[in-house]
Amino acid sequence: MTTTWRELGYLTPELVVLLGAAAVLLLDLFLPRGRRRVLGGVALVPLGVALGWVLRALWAQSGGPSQLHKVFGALLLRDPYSLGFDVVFLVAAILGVLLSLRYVEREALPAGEYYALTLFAVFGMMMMAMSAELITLFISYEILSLAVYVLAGIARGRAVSAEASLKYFLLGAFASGFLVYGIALVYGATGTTVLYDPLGQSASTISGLILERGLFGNALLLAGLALLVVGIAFKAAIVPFHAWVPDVYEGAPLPVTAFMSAGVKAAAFAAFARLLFGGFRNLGEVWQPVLWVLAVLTMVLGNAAAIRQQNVKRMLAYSSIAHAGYLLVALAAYTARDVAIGSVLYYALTYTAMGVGAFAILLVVGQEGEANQELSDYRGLASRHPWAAAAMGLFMISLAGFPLTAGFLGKFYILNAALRADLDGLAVVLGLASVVSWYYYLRVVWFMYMTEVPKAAVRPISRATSLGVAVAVAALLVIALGVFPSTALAVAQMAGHTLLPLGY
Amino acid sequence: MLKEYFPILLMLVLAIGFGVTMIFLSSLAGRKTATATKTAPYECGSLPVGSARLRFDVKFYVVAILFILFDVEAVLLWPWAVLQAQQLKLTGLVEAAVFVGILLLGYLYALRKGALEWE
Amino acid sequence: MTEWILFVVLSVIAIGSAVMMLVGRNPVHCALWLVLTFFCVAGFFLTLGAPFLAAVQIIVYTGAIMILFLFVVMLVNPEREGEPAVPASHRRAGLTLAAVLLVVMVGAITTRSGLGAIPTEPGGVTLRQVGTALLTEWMLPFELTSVLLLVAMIGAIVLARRRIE
Repeated sequence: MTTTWRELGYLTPELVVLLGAAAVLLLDLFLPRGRRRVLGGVALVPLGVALGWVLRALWAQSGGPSQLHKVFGALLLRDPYSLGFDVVFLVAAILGVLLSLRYVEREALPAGEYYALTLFAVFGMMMMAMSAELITLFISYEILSLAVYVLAGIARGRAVSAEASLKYFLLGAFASGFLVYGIALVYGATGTTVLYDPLGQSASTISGLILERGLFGNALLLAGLALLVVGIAFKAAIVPFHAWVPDVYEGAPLPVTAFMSAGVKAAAFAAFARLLFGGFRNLGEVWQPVLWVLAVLTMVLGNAAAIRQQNVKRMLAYSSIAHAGYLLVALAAYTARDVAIGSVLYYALTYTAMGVGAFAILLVVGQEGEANQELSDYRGLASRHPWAAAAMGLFMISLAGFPLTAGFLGKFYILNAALRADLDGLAVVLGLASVVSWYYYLRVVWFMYMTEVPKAAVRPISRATSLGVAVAVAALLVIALGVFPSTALAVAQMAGHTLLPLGY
Repeated sequence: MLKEYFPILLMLVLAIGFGVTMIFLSSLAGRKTATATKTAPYECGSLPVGSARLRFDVKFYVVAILFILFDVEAVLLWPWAVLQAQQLKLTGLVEAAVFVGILLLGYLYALRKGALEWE
Repeated sequence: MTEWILFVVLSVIAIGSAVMMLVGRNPVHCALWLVLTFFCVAGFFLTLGAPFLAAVQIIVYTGAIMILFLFVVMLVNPEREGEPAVPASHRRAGLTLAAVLLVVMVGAITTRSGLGAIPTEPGGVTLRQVGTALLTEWMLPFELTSVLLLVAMIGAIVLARRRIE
């Protein structure tokens, strides 16, 4: 056995989540139906344990030299980069499970499958962030995708949920096809599927062979790269591969939407950055202009569509497309990669806190269900429920990128990377797009604070503890990341540096 | 290298050729009297009822998809089985046990949830 | 020479039946044309010295997946024999995209640079070699596949079963 136990030890958080999924599935089979409400709590245990392990590992490396281990040959990399993204996935999942506890019970969703699939999705995300090889990347991508397709359609009683699942599945299968086709072409051009070797021990990797054989203009390789980009851009909800987003985000159960808008997007970007800055780092001149165009399209279209929405869930769906565009700006800043990758990670964490937080407030106002999602339902929320309104206000101004919030710093670091890479045009578009986004985010605040509603039309909100905890955690994260960003940013930068060229 | 497959090709040609010849011969030699009863679709000797294009029950679909999944599992275990039979190693056994163990969970799930029952 | 003849014959049948599948109006017939295409692909694998893949192609694709296709066809539209024609604009868009892809692929393959990089076995790949690769170098994807199959199984049952136990 070439792989020793020590190597498996590097996979501890992934294995904990996988075993947790199996445990939830088994418990569901043998618990009487009335007791199945404990499953949500059971699902939180592996997520918490894994988060603790990951944070400890990151903590141990902050300040000191970062540790980088190859696992299973060169298929996986346990580096601060993957650990950093694990934090994002685990936070998104923990918040997602907290949002689900009452929702699953209320809507009578199958609890065992729901939480097991959530954990499987997280497992897929974590493996995706670690993958340094295309076949492993693809299988992880599929584990994540299948789990999320099903989660989107798990409320089978509601036709929109089934429709969301079907649309997502059909388009997603198409995107998977692109990804596989891309892998095949890249393999055809290079003869390997290993992206790069961070330790510089082997030159027979995609990035090494591009240099060695001078494959810069190789048509087969470029066609393969284009297909890979399409496959991942689909998951990341990047225009023009975003057609599924509004319907799926609107149709899927709210906690699932919250989880996927943060987690799936972060996983796609984790793989994206590893692919581009790792395996195809020597083709930067080729892919950078493509990302430039995609980033502009995504920011412009996402914001333009979000402005027109009257339904808050749909508005958040379109605005999440815009946020994918902001993240793309950082990826396009590849000549400033020493700061760009870190800013992606920081922004992904920030977006997770404020995005999931906003969806949590939707659940609070919707009384744990799919009700009251129109803008008009937020009339006078401030006078009736000051805390809920304050939290929503915080998430909105952070999403809009107001100074002193986490969202502002996230955008600031991305802008910094873009300017350092001399992408002035892209930086201007990002700034303008943010200003546009103020309109629709602040409109929610305006409805909450500046309008009143007749007493008769007042609807009660949810006061569930689990929702309150989720909102509080998200709000604290937004504040902490906004006011004391230095620790998180230092870790993000350290994690980002793992992707910088050391060897092939 | 392809010579090994010649017998298979021969068998295919013979099988297809035999079938085609038989149909051709019977159409050549047989007597044809078409009546309404004779041209009606054959349904185990009883009178045909309704259209043959019935909507399939969704449970066929569940069975079909479970069949595919276990089919893929069997296909993936096939190279392992060949290897294991020739040179038995503990690691190979452990790897296969993990692989099957994970899927056993799925089997148990399908069993307990009644997906394998025909109602 | 034999391989060249086989290649030409298989290609003609494969492309021909793929086109028939596309233009056919009866979904059941389309599925059967697809079966023929799959058989030809299995033939390609054989001529390329990959008997394992040829067997997998027949067992999984022509065997299992086509059954599912037919079930789904029967599940979705039992009544309508022929599908309504695809609008001409969609047809044009599809053809344009396909033509672009064809040009790119032909261009990519004819440049040939790097194509020799793929390690090939002179006598074809035996089942043993596949097994060794799967269980040593590719052990992780092998095990991950079973997780993927498990998720697919749960998903299929959750979405398709009638009542929730």
